[in-house]
Amino acid sequence: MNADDRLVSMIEACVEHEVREVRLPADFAERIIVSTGRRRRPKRFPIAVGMAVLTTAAAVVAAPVSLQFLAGPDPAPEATAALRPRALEGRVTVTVLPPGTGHSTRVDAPGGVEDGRSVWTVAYLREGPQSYVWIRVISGDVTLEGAAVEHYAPRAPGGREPVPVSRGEARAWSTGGHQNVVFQPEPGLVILVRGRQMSREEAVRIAEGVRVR
Amino acid sequence: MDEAEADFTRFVRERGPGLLRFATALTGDRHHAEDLLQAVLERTYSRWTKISHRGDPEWYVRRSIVNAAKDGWRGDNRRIAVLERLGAEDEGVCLPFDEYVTRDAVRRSLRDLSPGQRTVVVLRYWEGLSEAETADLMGVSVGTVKSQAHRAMKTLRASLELSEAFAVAPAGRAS
Repeated sequence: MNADDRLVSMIEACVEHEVREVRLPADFAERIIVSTGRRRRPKRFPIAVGMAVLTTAAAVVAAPVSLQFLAGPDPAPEATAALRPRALEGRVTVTVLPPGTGHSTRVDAPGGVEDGRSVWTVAYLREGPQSYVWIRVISGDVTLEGAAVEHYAPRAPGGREPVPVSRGEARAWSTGGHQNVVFQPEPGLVILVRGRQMSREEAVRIAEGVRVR
Repeated sequence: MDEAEADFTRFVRERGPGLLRFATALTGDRHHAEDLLQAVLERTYSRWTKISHRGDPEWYVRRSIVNAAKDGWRGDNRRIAVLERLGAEDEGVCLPFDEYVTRDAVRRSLRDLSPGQRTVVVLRYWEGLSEAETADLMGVSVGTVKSQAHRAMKTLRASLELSEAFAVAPAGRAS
């Protein structure tokens, strides 16, 4: 075997190594069809694990957010509306995002915050390699900081500094060296923190560790 | 489910796994590949009737993957960090020490290639396409394929030679 044959053989082995055990989810086609919104008959897209909604008041400074879980398949609008922010007034929008599809269900839920600013965090969880924690600000400019942001935002400006984000800006963070802005349905800020192997408990820790000010 | 939907679903079921492997080979990152494939297939589905009637939707998707992979890299100047060492990924795989060192060197060099060079290397040497087939899929000239391949192989060859020069037996090996 000459030197170039050996190199080609090595290239083949390296690439084979990278593609080993690559699996396509069984419902991948379904996800594509749903995400394009071109299905004629609406179909409720099952959500494997529950949805979590975190709420905070805009006037809160450097306070941890709380986490509520709604377990079960495909939350109905009335169930989602029941996840009211604490001590909030006005109207906010809850966005439920099934994983990997870019598809959303918008539900207007009573709620809101002081000073005309609404801050929502929606954590969507799915056990397995594509679990997400979403943080979405639908108005106002906020700064996110905390151990969670530090750990899960390796590409945030400055690395370990609090991250200023503005309305209309989309920011995505992930672990595992991958970034993905999955969805930006409307003007507003969408920040995605995506973990490759994120359990529900870990997502809770992430969400609770994020401070909004 | 209407006919187009059924047809598309069948296509993804049959061709999807191979397309994902292809995207992973081009990007070197399986998560990036999944999202890239999803984005490409979303665009494909939105034009499915037209694309499938042209005769070879798989060629269309593969070409879109190649273009999307190159565009993705161009849009993000940051290199995808090599987060795992070969050893961590190869749990259970036992290689001779020098083989380990040289494969690791080639693997790192592959990741450091420009998007165009990596694409050519993957298509020529992993997919086994000819220069003409590679040029057709990439939408470039055969001359571009040749020059990209030449530069890529030069880089990889240098990396291999350097690793071989410095690969030494672990201390304590009996003579």
